[in-house]
Amino acid sequence: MYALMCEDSINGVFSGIYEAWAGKYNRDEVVLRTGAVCNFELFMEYRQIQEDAEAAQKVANTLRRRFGEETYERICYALWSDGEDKADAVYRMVRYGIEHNCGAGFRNHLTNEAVRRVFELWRAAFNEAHHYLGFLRFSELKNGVLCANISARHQVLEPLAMHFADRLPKENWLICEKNRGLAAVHPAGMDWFLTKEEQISTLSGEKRSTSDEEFASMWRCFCNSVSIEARENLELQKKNFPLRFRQEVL
Amino acid sequence: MLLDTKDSIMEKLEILSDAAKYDVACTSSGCERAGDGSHMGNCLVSGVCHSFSADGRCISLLKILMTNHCIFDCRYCQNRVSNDVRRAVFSPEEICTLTMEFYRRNYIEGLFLSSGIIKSPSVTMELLYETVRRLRVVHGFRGYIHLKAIPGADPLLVGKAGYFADRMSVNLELPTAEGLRTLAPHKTRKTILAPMRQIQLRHNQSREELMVYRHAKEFVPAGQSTQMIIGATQETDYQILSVAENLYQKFDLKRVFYSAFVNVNEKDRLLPVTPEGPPLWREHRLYQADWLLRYYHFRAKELLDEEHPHFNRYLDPKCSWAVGHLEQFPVEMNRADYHMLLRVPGIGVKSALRIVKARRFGSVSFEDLKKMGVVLKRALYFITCNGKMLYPTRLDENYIVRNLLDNERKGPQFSGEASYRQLSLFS
Ligand code: SF4
Repeated sequence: MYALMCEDSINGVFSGIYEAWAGKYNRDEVVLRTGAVCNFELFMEYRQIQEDAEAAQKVANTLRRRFGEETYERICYALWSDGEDKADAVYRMVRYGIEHNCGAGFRNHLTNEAVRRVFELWRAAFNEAHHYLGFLRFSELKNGVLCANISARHQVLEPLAMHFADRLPKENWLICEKNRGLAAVHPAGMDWFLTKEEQISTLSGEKRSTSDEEFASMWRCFCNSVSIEARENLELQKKNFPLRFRQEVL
Repeated sequence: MLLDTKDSIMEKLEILSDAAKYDVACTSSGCERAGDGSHMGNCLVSGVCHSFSADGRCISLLKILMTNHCIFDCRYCQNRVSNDVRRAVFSPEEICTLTMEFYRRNYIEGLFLSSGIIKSPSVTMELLYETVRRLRVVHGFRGYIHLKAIPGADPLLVGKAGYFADRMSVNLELPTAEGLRTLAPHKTRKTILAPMRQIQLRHNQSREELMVYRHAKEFVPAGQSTQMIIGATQETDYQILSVAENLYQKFDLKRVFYSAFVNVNEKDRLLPVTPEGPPLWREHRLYQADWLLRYYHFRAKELLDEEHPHFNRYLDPKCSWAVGHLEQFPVEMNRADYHMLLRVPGIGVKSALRIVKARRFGSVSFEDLKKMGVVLKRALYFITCNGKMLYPTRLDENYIVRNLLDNERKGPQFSGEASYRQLSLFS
């Protein structure tokens, strides 16, 4: 057996899939992994796979063409999830799809184990990203830059950055992801990019603007006064609004 | 009338969001609009929640009144002319500033703007129109806007405003015309239904224009909604649900919202006393039944009728229906059509679709159902997979009800006096 050790990114795993397909291996004898090896397994040969943008692009094009945008998006979210087995689940799903000549609808073959696993991973990452679409907060710094901090389980920076680039095209903004020390940076009117958080510490060290504190307190005032006392239901609030998000929001 | 321009924007926000809170519509869904690369804002068809208030409701839009001054005297309303409350008015520009600044910090998905009647319905509508026009044209805002149409206002103004709003709504207020006559003497069925019809026709017309001419402007792309107050007057659940069904069918409404009556004018002798607080469980049942109408192909008269005009307090409408129709169960998961799958307690629209798709590629098992989101602890009494039930259970009304109630009581929804013996389930 061969374990192809991929970098933990979409391009990394796609490079691994490309390698597995390149004819050097018997596909039944390949597993894909991300991250570092913790427990070396007997009879397993480990191969480090370098990220190869060109190869990854080819895989992406094939997936899009054969399975359509929605399935492709589902695979991307699965690879943004924190599932340890995500690379192999995607590899097995893609194999199944290609070997059985499946069309766009095969992401719903939930009776297939690999398809179902990718479905679960997609749902976990997608749900967290969707929560952050609402719960992420920007504060305005003195220099006018909008800055948000999140601590996510899954790699949600990319989908969030795409969303806010579409929504706030003429703003300078950045989103810092504390757990991975990464940030998405969007200069007004330009494309966004990912970078290490420490490289922008000067920016995020900047103080909040004075009007920002005013708008934040108006927002708090609003949230308090729209609640109907006669209907108060803190249990329900807690259920809908997980505490780990609440700290970041208010 | 004094326009209180001296109040700070913060004080106004406090007064005018407090005054708007009884409007229960909060969703920002129903409209998909990508950014244009230069102006601020886009819309997601699913809607997005930005926070949850202490009553557990989702906060998605900046929900405010333009003013709580009002020349009308609706008995149930805290802003009525006969009440002595602090009043305030936002200028259109103030509303724009708040919306833009809240939006760019990602506090909100957009604006929900309503108003008390200042001077006359048309004057009020004109100001509302000017506000949304300014927000779209001057500030280039592309986020979500929900705007109230004011009953009795000049139809021309309603017609213009709908090109800047994503959704419009006229509140039905009370389910029947009699209710309206007693509690909202300045409003009539006619002044409420006229703008509702106008919005419906204009919306449909603009859809047709869009098919011919791609750049035609869309009129309230997310359609219209309305709201009824539950429990201020004597209507039965059956009456209310039938009114809702009618509105969906005859006025193409996207949503009907139900608002459990909160008595804010306790001295008013025309209003019912509500010692137990607002009838929240009734509201909850109405929403459940409303979903059954909109997504599960149920009709109002299947769920309730003249003899059984009220919802069961302890069992949701779908379970109630199922235990009353045991002759149609158990349902075989590998064969039943989509329509029947939808009628099984514990199976939602998404899982029903997943089942139909998945079984094209092999037979589904209970394990598969669980992974597809089916709530087995509810469904297990009603289904088989390849001819077998999950556990040997009896297809018996009392037995199933007792078990379903055990499940429900463990949930947090309704606490208190519910002992199963006290229930008169089908009376
Ligand atoms: S019209 Fe009636 S419900 Fe609306 S603000 Fe005036 S009094 Fe209240």
